[in-house]
Amino acid sequence: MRGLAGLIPFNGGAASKIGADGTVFPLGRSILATARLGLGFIPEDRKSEGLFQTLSIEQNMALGMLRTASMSSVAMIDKDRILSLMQKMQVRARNSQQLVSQLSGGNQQKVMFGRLLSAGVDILLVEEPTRGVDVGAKAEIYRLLRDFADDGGAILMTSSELTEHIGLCDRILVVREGSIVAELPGREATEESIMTYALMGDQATVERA
Amino acid sequence: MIALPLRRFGRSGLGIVSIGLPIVIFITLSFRAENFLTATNIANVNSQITALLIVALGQLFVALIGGIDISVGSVISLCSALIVTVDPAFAVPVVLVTAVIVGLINGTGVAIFKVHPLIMTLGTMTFFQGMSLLLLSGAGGAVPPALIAMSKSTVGWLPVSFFWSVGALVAAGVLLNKTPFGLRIYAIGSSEQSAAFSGIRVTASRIGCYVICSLCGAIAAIYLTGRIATGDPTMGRPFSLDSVTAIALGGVLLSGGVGGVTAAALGTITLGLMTNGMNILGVSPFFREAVTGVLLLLAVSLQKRKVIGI
Repeated sequence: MRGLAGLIPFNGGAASKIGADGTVFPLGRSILATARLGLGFIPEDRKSEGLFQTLSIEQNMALGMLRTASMSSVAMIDKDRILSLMQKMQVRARNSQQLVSQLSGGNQQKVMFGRLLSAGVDILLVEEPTRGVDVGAKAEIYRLLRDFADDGGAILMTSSELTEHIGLCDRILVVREGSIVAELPGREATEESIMTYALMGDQATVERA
Repeated sequence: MIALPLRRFGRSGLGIVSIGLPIVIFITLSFRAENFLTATNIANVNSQITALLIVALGQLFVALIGGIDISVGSVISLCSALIVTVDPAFAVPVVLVTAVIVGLINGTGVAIFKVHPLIMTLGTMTFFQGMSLLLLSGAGGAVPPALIAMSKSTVGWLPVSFFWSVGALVAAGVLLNKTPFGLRIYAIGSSEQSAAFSGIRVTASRIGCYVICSLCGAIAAIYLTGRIATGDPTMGRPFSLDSVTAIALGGVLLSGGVGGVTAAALGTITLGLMTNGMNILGVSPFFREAVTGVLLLLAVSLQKRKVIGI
């Protein structure tokens, strides 16, 4: 995941994004290159790796929007767009000027999504989408992810909660000792089937057959 | 009490102390010193603090990304020496280019080679102080008349220094609040890791801040040299520490992310009023230097900080 986002080098292998017209863009070069290709990364630890705690919601989201703007251009923050995004995501805050550090975990995570959505990404890399998020907001974040995928976006997600994968994913890939051992459709997977592949790898196929 | 203003004023860095202190000093001086509230003296204060204000605004950029630039005083000295040594026609461009180079050196050292900003700028401070003394061994030399006119004349009844201050404030304010660059600086100061992970060019932005700081030093040097009408290779000496003290008094967090143009201006006014007050009350200038040191320590120790140290 972090390799794809360009934060750490790959151990081996390669990955690339294939554009709509068939052009191939290699991934994993650098954070900057990744961001330019339209990949958004939502880190596990949003407090220290994602959000800017001393800045307002508006500024946090605007940083995504302004990624494409040049250094010198005088940019006005597009307040209307931020407000409509906040409404769409149901961010619970007094106003867009409120500091991100004063929001609950769920609302912080929504702001994190908001920044990437406003930046116009089409692939999301998500680590632990609902860590430290209350139950109500969890459902809303699941809905956000689903909406994003329905609108044609791709999401690569990891989570330490198995049930989250089962409820949310279209495809579940089980990785064991560095290689993919199984691909399960999200609707058919159960905690048991995933764990069997995760613990036993290829042998699971033999035993099941 | 320290946390409350931070929440109320957010990232501007303003608080009860940074707003109240200049007012208290102003009122005290109005009663204690009879010459204080005269038009001449107020104009005098303005001219005195203009250079410090320009440097403090530069220091603000560096402080917002959690750095410190103590070489800016030497930049002023070096530029002042350069103005009187090079061909008058090229004085201003030469000075500005020199400042950009110094800023690039500082920024590269800090952002790419990861030298601590204090060590890095202490090194360049000493180096460029030496260079300026090599260029010009003592105060002297002829300043181009155009530069003198630019810093000493009056427009209507307003001294031209007023326009220097306003110009610097507006330029810094627009850069910080209205451009993506400004927003990125706040983002880096708020959390460098978050900034890097969200695709902000952290290294380039940090170098940019050091270049801006040095450029502010050069502009201050042009103003000061014109005002004094002679080159002085030690002119900038007090400015390194004074600029840091000024922004700290204004409530700018030296650990980064919090502060603004207003905070820098208020801190500068506080320091300027204090200097002027001591002057007209007849206090020794050496005592004033001692007070600056104490003020810096007080301002920094009372701040709510993320990092212990600076």
